[in-house]
Amino acid sequence: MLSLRGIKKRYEGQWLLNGVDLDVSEGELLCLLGESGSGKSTLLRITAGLEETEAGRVFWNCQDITDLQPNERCFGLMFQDYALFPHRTVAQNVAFGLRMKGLPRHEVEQKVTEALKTIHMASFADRQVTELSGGEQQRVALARALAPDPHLLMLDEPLGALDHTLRVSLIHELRRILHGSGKPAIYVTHDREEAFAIADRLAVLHEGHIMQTGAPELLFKKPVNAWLASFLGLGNLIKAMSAPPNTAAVTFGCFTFAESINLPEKSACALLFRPKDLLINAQPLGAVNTFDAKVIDSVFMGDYWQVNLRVQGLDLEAHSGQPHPAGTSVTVTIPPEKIQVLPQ
Amino acid sequence: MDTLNAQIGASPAKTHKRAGWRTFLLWVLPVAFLLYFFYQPLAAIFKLVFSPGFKAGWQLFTPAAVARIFFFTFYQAALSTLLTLLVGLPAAYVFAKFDFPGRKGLNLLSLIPFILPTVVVASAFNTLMGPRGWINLGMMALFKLSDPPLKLLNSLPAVLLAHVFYNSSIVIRMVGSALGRLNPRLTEAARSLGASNRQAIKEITFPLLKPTVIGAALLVFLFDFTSFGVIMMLGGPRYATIEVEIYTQTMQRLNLPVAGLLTLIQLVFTLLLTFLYNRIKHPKYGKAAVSSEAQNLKKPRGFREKALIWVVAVVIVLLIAMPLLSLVSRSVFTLDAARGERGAVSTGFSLRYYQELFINRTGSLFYIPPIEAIRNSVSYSLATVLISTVIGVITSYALANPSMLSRHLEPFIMLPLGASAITLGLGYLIVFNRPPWNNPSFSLLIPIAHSLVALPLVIRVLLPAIRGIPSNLRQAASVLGANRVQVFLQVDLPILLRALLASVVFAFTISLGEFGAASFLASPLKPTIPVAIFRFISQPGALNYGQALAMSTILMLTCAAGTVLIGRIRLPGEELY
Repeated sequence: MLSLRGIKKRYEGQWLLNGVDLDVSEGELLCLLGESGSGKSTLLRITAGLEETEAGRVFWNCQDITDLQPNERCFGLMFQDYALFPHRTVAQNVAFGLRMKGLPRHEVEQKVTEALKTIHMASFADRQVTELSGGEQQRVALARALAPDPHLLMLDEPLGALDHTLRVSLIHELRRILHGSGKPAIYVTHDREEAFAIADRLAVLHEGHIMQTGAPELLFKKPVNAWLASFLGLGNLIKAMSAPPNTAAVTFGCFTFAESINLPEKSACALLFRPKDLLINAQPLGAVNTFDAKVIDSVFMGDYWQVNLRVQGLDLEAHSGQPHPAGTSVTVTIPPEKIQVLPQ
Repeated sequence: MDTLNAQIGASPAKTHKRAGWRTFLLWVLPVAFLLYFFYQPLAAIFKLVFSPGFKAGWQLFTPAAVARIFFFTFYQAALSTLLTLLVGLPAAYVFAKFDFPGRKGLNLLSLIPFILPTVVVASAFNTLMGPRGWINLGMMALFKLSDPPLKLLNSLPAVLLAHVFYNSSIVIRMVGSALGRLNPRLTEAARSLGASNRQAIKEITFPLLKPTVIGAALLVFLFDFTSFGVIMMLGGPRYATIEVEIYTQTMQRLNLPVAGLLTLIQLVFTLLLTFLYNRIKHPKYGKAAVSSEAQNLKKPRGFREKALIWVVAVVIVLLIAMPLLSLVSRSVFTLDAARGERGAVSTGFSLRYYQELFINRTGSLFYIPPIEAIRNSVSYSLATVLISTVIGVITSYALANPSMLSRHLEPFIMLPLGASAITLGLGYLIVFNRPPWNNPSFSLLIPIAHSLVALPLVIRVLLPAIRGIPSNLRQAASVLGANRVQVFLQVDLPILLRALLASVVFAFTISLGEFGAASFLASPLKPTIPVAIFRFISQPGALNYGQALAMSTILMLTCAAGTVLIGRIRLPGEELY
């Protein structure tokens, strides 16, 4: 299906995209995740044909489409600000792509009605788009992009302009519509919760490259480096210096791992362990990976207590079955098999 | 509870409070000025048309002739507008969309004509296509002809060319800025939905720009319809428009009633156009159609985009740069002998025409050196600056005050602003043809007429600036103990300084280049620069021609300098249309 190979683009002299490779397979919902300014939107625009790539090619079903005009690609694109045509009604907006395909009028009308029904906005057909709320605009933009039956759908931060409550309620509807359409889609976002909630597969764009790609569980379980773990918010990260075969030094002591690490002596790395794996008062001081800590506070989160701790000036987070009073001294233990060692 | 209700009930009335005596005082001077110097002459023209003397006038001028002149005026204006759009729209598109080398310079060049006085434009085209212009000189030298082969002067094409030269800058500026503000995502969305570039322009760009394009077209039509100097100097006697015919009837036939009738027709028509212009609906699309980010220029790709840029660039250079360069170069190029000169004449580069500005030769008409005209114009312009600034500041303050009185008086103030300089000229000739007004050594009427012409721009510069002064600054100053005068001096004035400077420069350059009113009101012994240029350029003799060109060049450079100065003063608030 879609293959991007070696895409390069400069922005104000700096490489924004520096050789990006990416594939989207049939019926797959790929989520392109990255910080704002990482070039996600630019990559979408290059795929759509709205911007030229400085190097590399774009393929669709093994055909090189790099030099095709945007209207010759049959790719749908939904903009972050929706870009609804302000001088057209809701129905006319949705009909635009169908008219451009040259469909006869009755067919256009029929498809518009269907499209508005799937987004539950049939009664809005003759409304001006400028009168719609943000959530309604978002749905019309989605219907407009889907109506001409594009080969591929691209969504650029489709929920970015909406407030949090609306996002939560819309994301499931979006997931339903996208999976229902059966079309391959690229979904661009900087919000990892949104990405985990919607994606079949994730691709993280950082410093001009795809840093890692895979199913959400894979990225969650096996992030390739410390930056990615921190970007995805996977848990406690501590800077360390490796001491093979299976130990590493940190500012307040030494960690021991269950498996030997694959790093040279004294190389900078990071230790990742999840809050639920951090045990409080489980071992006496002196046991493996056990340190002195001070409780800062305990926050009730429903299923667990989030206990914020400080170990020699370093903040750590633990999930615990019970609260611990602020200011008390405790011991924390991280079982050796629960620690991941990541390159910096 | 009762007090709360009372407060709620009282608050809407506050926005349209009844005018206090201070607001009333503010209105006295502008209203008196307009009554005396605009409405009185206008009433006199009305009276004249319906006076018994009118019958005598009709015998010399038939309704068929009036109709013919009206239709010609309409025809040339429509044709000029069409051609202007043909040049201006593609240029606006190119400047708003593409990044190419020379874009800035070309864009600046395309905006120059708007600030040039009509006489300068007419002289510039004369030096290019006139009997003594470069093209004819070149062809005569090349083919050894004794007469100029190209007879473009005194023809419709010359008028049309000058009108396109003049007004394409309006189209480029208005449409270009609207296009630049248009959200580029809209056309991109259309492209990704399967629209070709042409379809995207037709379906999205053009409908969204339509109000702006219609507005620009109406404005251009209004300017072409009321164009005076260009037609006087390039159209010749055969191509009289209403304005030119008013001049002819007044100054040559002394048939004031017919001139009055033509003035009324003209006034009604321009009011109608102004009304239409103000009626254009600008739909409020809000954020949807406007892009917040910086203008997104793209490099041209493909043959067609490059070709479009080349065509626009060539047309702009040919249409705008050529006449201006031709004027400057011809003004420093001596070609043939001046009258009364003997012996061999050195042809080629010389600053002779500029030196002659200071010399009173008997060969010169009216026996005045051109430097006198420059001196006259400068003193008239300074008087205009004074009058228009005083009236403009007071009127703007009165308009900025949201009161019932302001609302009712606004149309009364704005109506004269659409009137043409010719109407003023004719009206003043009828009403003020007596001492002290017809003092031949300094006609106060000229700066007064020029002030009325300049007032719209002055008010448009000052009003947003005055409205933009945060009222809490004034309140803070008065709480700190400043009285009203001190508040004005310490708060308003420093904030308004830039806008005031801009309005002064506007008034000065407008007065310096104004031709219509001055051609009615300037006494033969005290011509202004444009009047002198008009007289000199139509006289035989190389020296007269050269002097006219030297004056035109000086006028052009002065106006250009004024515009650069205004551009440097960054104005707060709205655009100047």
